[in-house]
Amino acid sequence: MDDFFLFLREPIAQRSLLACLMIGFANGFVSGLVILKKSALQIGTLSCALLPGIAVAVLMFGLTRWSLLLGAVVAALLVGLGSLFVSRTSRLNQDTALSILHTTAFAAGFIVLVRLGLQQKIDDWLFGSIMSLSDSDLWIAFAISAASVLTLLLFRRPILIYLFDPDIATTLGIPSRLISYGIFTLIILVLVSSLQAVGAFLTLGLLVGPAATVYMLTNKPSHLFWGGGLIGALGSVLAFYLSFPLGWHLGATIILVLGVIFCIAYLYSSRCGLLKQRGKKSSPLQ
Amino acid sequence: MEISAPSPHCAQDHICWGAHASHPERHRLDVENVTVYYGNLLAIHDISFSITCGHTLALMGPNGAGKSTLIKALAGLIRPDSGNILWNGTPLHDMPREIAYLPQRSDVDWSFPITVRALVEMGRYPALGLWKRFSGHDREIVEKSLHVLGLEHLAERQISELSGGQQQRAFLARALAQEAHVLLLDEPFTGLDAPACQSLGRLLDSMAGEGRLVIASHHDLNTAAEIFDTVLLMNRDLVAFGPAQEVLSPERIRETYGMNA
Repeated sequence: MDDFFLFLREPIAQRSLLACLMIGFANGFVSGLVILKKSALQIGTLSCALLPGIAVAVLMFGLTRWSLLLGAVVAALLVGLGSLFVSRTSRLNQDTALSILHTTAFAAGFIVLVRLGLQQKIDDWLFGSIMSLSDSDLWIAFAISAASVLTLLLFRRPILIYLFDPDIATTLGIPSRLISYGIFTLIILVLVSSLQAVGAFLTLGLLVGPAATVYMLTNKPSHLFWGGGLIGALGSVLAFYLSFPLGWHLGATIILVLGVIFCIAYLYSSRCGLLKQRGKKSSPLQ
Repeated sequence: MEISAPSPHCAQDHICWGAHASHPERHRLDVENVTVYYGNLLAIHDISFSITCGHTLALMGPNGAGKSTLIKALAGLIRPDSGNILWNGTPLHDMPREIAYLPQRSDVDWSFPITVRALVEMGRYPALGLWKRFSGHDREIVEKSLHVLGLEHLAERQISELSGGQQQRAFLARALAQEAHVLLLDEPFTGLDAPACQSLGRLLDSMAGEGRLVIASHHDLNTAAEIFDTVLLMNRDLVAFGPAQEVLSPERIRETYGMNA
């Protein structure tokens, strides 16, 4: 235990803790969007699509932090927005387009990675390595977190109406198409920011779990966002304090803690009937 | 073909809420040669008609006749491949405040976590935009809309907890809160029981009586004449348009629906 307190004084530990807090909050906040949009599985496939981007970036620019980040963002944007585009311009729906694009991308990425002999290094990106964060990583995480939370707050009215019904949003003069692309971009950025914390395979848990937990306790959309942020941040920080003494992998611990919180909320809501309780006000305008 | 309002014009300012409330003339919708394709598939062809506020208009025809397509084109959700849709001479989709669109009930995500009041408040969006504060005036309009549709006691309910008729009324209340002039409803009577149908019919009638233009796609030939004063029969092309009693003649119906009708 003494080791742990000594470790907490290290700059790297403080950086990790701060990162857990920020990434946990931003992902939790944006998870409200994922829950209301009912697009959890799409996000899951997107996180797998990051792999080829990372592979191609390493191939082009070598193995640096920036090349990995850039590759991940570009791959996710290409696959995510590509699927949106294919679904709009063909008879396929977005899920179908996404399934094809992301598996193709994943296969291509896998081949490149094996050819490069990078399986080991890439483990960090698949499962997260928050302990190896640099100052610039922290700033990137901060910028993405702040930008996504601010964007959602500033445009919450049209976004909520769009999430409720894109057609009604259009007739009210809201640019639905712009919002759908914007939401996708924002989710992808947040997804990438959580890569270092929990890795590509587990980001989905951080980007769905927090608001899913809150959704069982409340009917108010704003609670989904703020409550999701709170649970995301608390869960991540709690996991940070648990993982070292227990010797558990931090990324996995974060997702495990969030999963346990979800189960508790589920049991509580089904036993106490909170699922049926009515929310007071859930206005997108107030 | 043209239909004019039974009342001289809808000059009551408190009712003609739209952007043209002070307009001295009757508000008028002109649909000019509207054609819509889905890819290579012709959905509606060369539809033209004119109608003024104060009417309830049913769009009728067999399945696949293009009723919903026409509603969506009027709402600005589908851009016609050719033709114009004008409201007092201005393209209708340039005036989001003037149109309230009520989708088919089966197309709405009723599990979305939102109360009746919040749904009605959405109607204030065109007036408020992104950041303008929700004022006492807005609150008043929302309360009045809830009151007119008898939804006060349901205001804090989740929309998933409403009956079919109440769901339609909640959407109509949103249209009132929007102060919209043209109400576009996609199959509003589908899935409602007889009493709910009657009460919705009366509501649409009174909304038209107050100077709005109510346009709905409708499939029930038996109830059309009771609910609507004007009928448009279509089967991709326009077959007939005019007062309900005249248009719904056996010959016209056979022409539209084929021999089985």
